[in-house]
Amino acid sequence: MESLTFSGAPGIIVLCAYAAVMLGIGFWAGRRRTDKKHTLKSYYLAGGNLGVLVLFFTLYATQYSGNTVIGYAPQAYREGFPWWQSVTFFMVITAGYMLFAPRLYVLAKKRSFVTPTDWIRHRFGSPAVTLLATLLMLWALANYLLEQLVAMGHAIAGLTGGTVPYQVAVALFVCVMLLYSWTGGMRAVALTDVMQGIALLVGVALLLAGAFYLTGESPAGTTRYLIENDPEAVSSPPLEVSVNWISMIVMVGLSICLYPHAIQRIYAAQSERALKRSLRFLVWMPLVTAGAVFCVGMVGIRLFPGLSDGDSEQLVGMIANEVGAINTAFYVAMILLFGGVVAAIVSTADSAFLSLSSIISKDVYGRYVNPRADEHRQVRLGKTVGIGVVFVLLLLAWNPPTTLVNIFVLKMELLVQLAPAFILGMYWRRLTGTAVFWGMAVGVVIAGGMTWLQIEDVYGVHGGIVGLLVNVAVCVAGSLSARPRALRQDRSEPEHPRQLHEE
Amino acid sequence: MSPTTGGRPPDDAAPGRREPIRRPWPWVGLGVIVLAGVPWYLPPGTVGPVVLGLPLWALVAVASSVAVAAHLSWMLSQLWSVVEDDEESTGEAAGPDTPLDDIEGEGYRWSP
Repeated sequence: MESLTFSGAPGIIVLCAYAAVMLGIGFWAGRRRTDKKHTLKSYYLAGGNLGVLVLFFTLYATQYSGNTVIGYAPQAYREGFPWWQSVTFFMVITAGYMLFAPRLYVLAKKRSFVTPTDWIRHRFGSPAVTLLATLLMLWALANYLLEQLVAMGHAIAGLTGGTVPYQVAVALFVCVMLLYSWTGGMRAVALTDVMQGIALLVGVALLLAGAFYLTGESPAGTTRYLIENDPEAVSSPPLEVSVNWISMIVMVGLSICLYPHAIQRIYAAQSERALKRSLRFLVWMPLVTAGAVFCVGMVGIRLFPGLSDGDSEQLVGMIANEVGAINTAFYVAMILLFGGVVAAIVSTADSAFLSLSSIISKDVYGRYVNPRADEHRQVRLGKTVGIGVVFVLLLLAWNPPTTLVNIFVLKMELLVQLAPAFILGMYWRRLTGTAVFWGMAVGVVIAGGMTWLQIEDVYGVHGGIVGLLVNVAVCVAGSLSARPRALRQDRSEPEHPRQLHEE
Repeated sequence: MSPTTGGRPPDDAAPGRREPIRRPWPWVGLGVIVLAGVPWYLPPGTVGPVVLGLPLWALVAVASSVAVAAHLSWMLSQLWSVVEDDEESTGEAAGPDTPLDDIEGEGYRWSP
């Protein structure tokens, strides 16, 4: 991101103010808790007590990262109107939730689920499926976190005009994030998400207003300009791009809702009504977030025509510089925008961090390393190891291993392979653990292999969706060919209520 | 439902329980709205008439997105109520005593 040359000290002041507010909320949330020792549920799920407003903002701030602003505006600049797909694919995530959340919410409350893996273990009773799902989730979370750390450094260095170097910026904000997460857990993360979500919303609105102010014309005037000077940006795309558009909607719709931190927000809902209402608000947010960012990208074509792909990555910084130069009000607005971007990145990173720690606490340490440890000890260990993982990721963010770059971009492609375990498993009683395991493994190999070989898609269909189709086929064929036998149910052990004995 | 009848959701739900997955037509409708917003039906390079400041196909894409949001919002409010009534009447969230036999009871037992 281009440095804001007008920035510097004011940027540092804004960042310090944001950091102070985040820390304040974190400590307040930590002091409000009533239990003397953290339990898994109190720390990782805020006691399962998030109401509509906080739940909505934490879903919102977690779903939209700083990349939604910094990365999606240049994408709209390069792709033109087909990038409107970003609005639809963010909406369809809610449809993804509706495929499994209604039952998962109730089961989670009834069975005291803490991590997404709890459902996998509960449903299939298979250590192999549980382990594979755990690894996939840890991979996706670590990857997601790494992306946020890189974005955080660039955004802060840009905001302060390089006054705060990239590494120092990341280290400082990671410390802030870890401090409030350590103190207040999910409660602190969710409450800071309210502030961070508002900052992002306000920032994007100000950027869009400033961008249109710069063009000095109405949106219709910008469209006229595009039709006359860059007709490709506003003309219908080739069929393969349309197929890719549909494929993207399906992949995002089925994968983002399966991120562990997304699933844990289902568990953390205060009630079914709170969950439904927050999702009803969430479904409209793409219009004012991704839609506004899309418009910024299109206005960018008007303001900075002819940028190369590489240069276009700096688009938001370039527009912010121009907008900030209009007058003092816009100058302040752009400082707030970049603060909002940083806040959005931190809000996404803290959710991923917390979820990663919970899986380490319960699914790795509590299950395999020290099953006799009490919950407080599991929480403490998960937090500590989680911090260790963050610092390893920091080293990776500063020295990215170039040969592994292709693999590091794998997130949704792998995560979407969990869809049969959650969606088919929720409703199709005959689905077996063995079939799910092999389906998931084959799907991962296909999606990962295509990425490794730099095959982006097959006739526009993403590798993740190709893998998912084979995954589902394996699940169905494997389950239908397995001979079902009676199973024993032992309701006194809710962790293993049903061991499926398959042949 | 017999455990061998395939992927359909069970139809032995408790009275008054509503789940989006049980209603196929809203999902078909969602698919149609999403597909209508993607210009696969137009020859590449079509700009077409400008309506309300946008090329018609782009306006259709925007309208499709608004319709997707409205449709999903409707599905959330009308098709999803598993324990809402119980929670509202008792003032407490679902918990260990919530009866879920139709969701995870008999259905998980395989026929011998």
